[in-house]
Amino acid sequence: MSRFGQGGLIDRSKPLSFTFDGRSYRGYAGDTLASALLANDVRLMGRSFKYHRPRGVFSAGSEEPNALVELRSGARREPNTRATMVELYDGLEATSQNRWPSLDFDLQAVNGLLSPFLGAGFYYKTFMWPAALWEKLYEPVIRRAAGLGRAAERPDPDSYEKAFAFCDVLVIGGGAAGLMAALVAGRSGARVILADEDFRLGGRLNSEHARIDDAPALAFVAQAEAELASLPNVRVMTRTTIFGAYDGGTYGAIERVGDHVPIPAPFAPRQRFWKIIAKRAVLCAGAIDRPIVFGGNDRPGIMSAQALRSYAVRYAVAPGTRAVAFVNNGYAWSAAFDAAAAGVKIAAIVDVRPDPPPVQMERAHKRGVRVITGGEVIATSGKLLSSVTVRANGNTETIAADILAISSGSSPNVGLTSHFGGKPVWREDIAGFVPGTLPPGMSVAGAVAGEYSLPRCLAGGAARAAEAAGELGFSAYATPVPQARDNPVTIAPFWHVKESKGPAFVDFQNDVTAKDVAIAHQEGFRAVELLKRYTTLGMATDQGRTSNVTGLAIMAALTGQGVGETGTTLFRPPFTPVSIGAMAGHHRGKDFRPTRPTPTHPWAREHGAVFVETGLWLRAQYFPKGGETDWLATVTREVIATRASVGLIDVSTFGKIDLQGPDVGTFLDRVYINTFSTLQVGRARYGVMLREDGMVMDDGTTARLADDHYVMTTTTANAARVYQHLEFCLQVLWPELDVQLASVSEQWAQISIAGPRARDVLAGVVDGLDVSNEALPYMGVAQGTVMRGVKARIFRVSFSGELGYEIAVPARHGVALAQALMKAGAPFGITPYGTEALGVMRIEKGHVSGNELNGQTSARDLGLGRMASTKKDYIGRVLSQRPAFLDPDRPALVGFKPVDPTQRLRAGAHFLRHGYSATTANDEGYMTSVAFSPTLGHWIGLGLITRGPERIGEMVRAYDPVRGGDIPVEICHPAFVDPEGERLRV
Amino acid sequence: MSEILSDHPVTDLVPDGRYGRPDGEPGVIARVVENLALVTVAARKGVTASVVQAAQDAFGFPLTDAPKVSFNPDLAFIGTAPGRWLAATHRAPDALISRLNTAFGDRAALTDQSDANLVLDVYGPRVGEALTKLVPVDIHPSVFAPGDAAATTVALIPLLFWQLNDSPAYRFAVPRSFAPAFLRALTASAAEFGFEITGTGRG
Repeated sequence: MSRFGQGGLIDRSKPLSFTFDGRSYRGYAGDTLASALLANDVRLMGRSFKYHRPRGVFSAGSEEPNALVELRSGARREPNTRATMVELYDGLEATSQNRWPSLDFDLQAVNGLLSPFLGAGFYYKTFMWPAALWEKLYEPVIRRAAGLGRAAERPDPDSYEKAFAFCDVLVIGGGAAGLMAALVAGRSGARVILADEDFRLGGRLNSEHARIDDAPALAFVAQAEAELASLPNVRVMTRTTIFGAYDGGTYGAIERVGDHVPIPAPFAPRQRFWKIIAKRAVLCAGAIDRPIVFGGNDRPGIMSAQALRSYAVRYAVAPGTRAVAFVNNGYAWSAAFDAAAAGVKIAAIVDVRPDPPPVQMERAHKRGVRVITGGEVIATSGKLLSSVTVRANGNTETIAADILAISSGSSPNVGLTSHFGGKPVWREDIAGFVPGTLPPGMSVAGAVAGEYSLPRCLAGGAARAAEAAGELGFSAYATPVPQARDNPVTIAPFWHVKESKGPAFVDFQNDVTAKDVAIAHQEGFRAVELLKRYTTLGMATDQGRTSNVTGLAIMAALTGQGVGETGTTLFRPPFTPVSIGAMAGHHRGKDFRPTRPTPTHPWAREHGAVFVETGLWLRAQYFPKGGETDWLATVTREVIATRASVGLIDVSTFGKIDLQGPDVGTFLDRVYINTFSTLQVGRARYGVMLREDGMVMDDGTTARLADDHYVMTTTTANAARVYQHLEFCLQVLWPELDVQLASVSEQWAQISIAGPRARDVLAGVVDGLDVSNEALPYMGVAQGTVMRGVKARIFRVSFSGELGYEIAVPARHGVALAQALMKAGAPFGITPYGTEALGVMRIEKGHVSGNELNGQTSARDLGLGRMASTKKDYIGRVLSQRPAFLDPDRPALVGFKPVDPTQRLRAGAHFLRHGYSATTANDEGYMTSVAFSPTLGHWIGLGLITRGPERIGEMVRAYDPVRGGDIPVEICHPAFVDPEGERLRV
Repeated sequence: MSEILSDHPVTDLVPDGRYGRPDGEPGVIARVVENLALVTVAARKGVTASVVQAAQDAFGFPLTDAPKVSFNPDLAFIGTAPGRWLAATHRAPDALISRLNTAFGDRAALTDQSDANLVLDVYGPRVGEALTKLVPVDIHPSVFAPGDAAATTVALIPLLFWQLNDSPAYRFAVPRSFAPAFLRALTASAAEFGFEITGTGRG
């Protein structure tokens, strides 16, 4: 065990047991998986992505590139979990990944021997010829080698949630700056949310021996936490990562509600996906420690200087027995001193600077720490680090060490500031990128702003919060600020030990070396975004949080430009990985999207309906009866029965829009291609509306109920879209029109009855209404009551081609109406039918539907061109007269039947003239809809073909390469049944 | 997805009963409001002020042309859009229409919506926390108070809700065909607090 006997923010009274690769270990509450493994002397935690090199832990935070593990098992297995972010719990089960057969002995480590050939651009250069091998060999091989960890193969048993939060000031990060910001904003009365990804507030104060107001900094953290908890207007969200900044002050956040327990509490989610809408945000995201690039810089035992400090101070763990620090900045020295104070033996501090500041030299001297100035680590050895070789002042020396703490300085966590495109700005004095243009409403404080010293963090947090709250009208005071000692930043920019032994890693996670950056430079991929794509530098789960700056600094050195001129890649959301399950929240499985039952759903279910999803709706597709072998047998029976006698179907899913006002007629004339202002009260008319570009948008019947009152029907699919279109027309195009719209799709249940006996059935449900052909002719509308007093609207319209009525009643009476119609229709053998039979009958009748109204057809294409009025203007009129639309060669709607009546037609088949080869140039159009016609006894189809209506009687090929079909078909009139419409008018 | 409803048909209302945390008082309670007549009132072009005044003359209170509820004990008008309200009362739909007709005459278009919605009152000690998972609207008492209304989208469902009192209780008008999906989302969100629903019968 490498745990110190005392100190640290762990609870020694709460021991926890856990396993890693099947072996049992002990840790404490307050540990992370990484700190607990180190405390158990487990230093090898993973294998690298490409070369499968042994890796330990590099950091103590969310930037971790190396220590990725599979957490939990079975259906809860979660790959690529950062051991540094996993809060230890009793019974935790973790497994190493990306290795075979074991973490200690990984056969794919052989890749390392091939590394001279696997450099940047390897795939692009190698897997080029022959092209025939791309799909069969190269891709499978690459895919097998790629990937990190294994996803769970069973459905996730846990639940996830989405939630919304609102605040005046969102404080991101709960370190020194964030705590001050939350206190100042909270005291002003503003609604404050403080979010931190850690399970403990305090940020770096948890890992440093700092003092605030002459007391340990942790006392300040505890007081701040207590005060924030006492303020009802402040909400503190730990274990919550703000991962993205979006429009309108919206921030995406992921709260790990149940990740620190084996199984989430009953009815509680594993994670909660928050949308936080904040009027102002103060980003206090801190900074992270960067590595130095030199040969052998990736051995387990090599970690950032600040990570060493965290493990020693916060977790009371010595990650090894003897440490060397290799650094270029004073902050790293203080990390080494803190680690030493906690109990870590520091063998030497190697600083690249020939003359580090005297104050630091003095502090080292006082602690008896050896300092090597002007030195560089040029080699390391050991599978787990055992020694480092240092070159200084012309001499080389090998020092025994199992920890090497490295630091090339701090990188502010600017990620969120880039989400609106703000480019980070280079600051030479701190050798780091600080935020450039900020997202609207965001300010930055503390280390993320390049203000590294503790008093500046405290003052900055207070000042930014006071400004933010002040802008919102709250009286906020940035003073007094607790006092702390100001340690100036001392740093000499340094990135890369050029003459060193072994691969020098820039990006640990993707195994990108300094050599790869040099190859990218040599081959012209010098711009930072190209460098990233060519070498994969900065990709994958850590998004290059530790590697970006060193990588581009090396590129800058190669091009001879400064780091600032070289610039940095932009950061996009998410800041850290977000699980897809959290984004889905409640909307999984059956709840993926709402399911809308029709008003007669229970009745249809009772009658044995098979249902089909049509958009969000669930509609009856067909009603099978015993003895029917397949759906086609059922549908054929339903069609025959309807055409012979009478059938019924729920058509409530059609969009229904109520239009009132003196200008409705004018309005409808402008949205439909045909005229509605002349429609008589008590009559309905079929209408077609176009999009502005001249394509057909939708069709349906609209009835006039009174002088200033119409009701429109739309197709099921376009109900919402048409309503939106009409609103747009009224609000934007013609605000002068006095028209009031209301969707009544949900208000009315509407059932269609069709067939020669439909009138008899209707007569059986109306309350004394005259439904004779004279009183209620084709396209007539009647209002009255049915079923002894239920308000009803009756429209004599037909989609099937038979005598038909649609009867609308308030939705609660839908089931009763279906039952009443069944009863009234019983003497005539009334047959319920579903969407399949409806589809068959409309194809037999040559009516267009969704397959033809597909956004690529004009009214003329569909044979509806003559409906268009030439006496008025309407939406889409001008663009429907474009030359291409008037081209006589344009495919137009006709019917098709197989020359051999036993053959089946297929929708999607393309038409070719006989004797012409199957090329795009010879394509004449395609089949849009097909059905087996029970009336005709063979398959029929509708389709669009060049000059269709002129070619009735001609034979063409219906060519269907997808399903291997190629059959002769005859072009015919699209109305296969009752082309004159006599049945409609009887 | 809520495990507790995984075997229940998605087309049916969540049946009467208790869901989620089984012990203690339910944190969230939902109750179906029956027989509420609802009628859309849309002012004709340019006469919104006159409609507002007509309500004052006929019912003794003016309408608020905003997402607010204007009401007396018998009748409420919920602002849903500029110059547009949803009138609600515990009477027969036709009686409400004729009353509104008398008040507004040809100054407003009336459309019966009494069958278009499932109306649901939602309340209980944890209602705010449950609604945080559903409504993308700030319902903090300093922002949203009794008499405030919002037309919004909840769990991909377009709906209208307003606050009835400061207990607080909220009334939701959910399009009828979306009601099963809404109740599933509500049940899932309220489960951790203990959820009780009445008025849906056997679903």
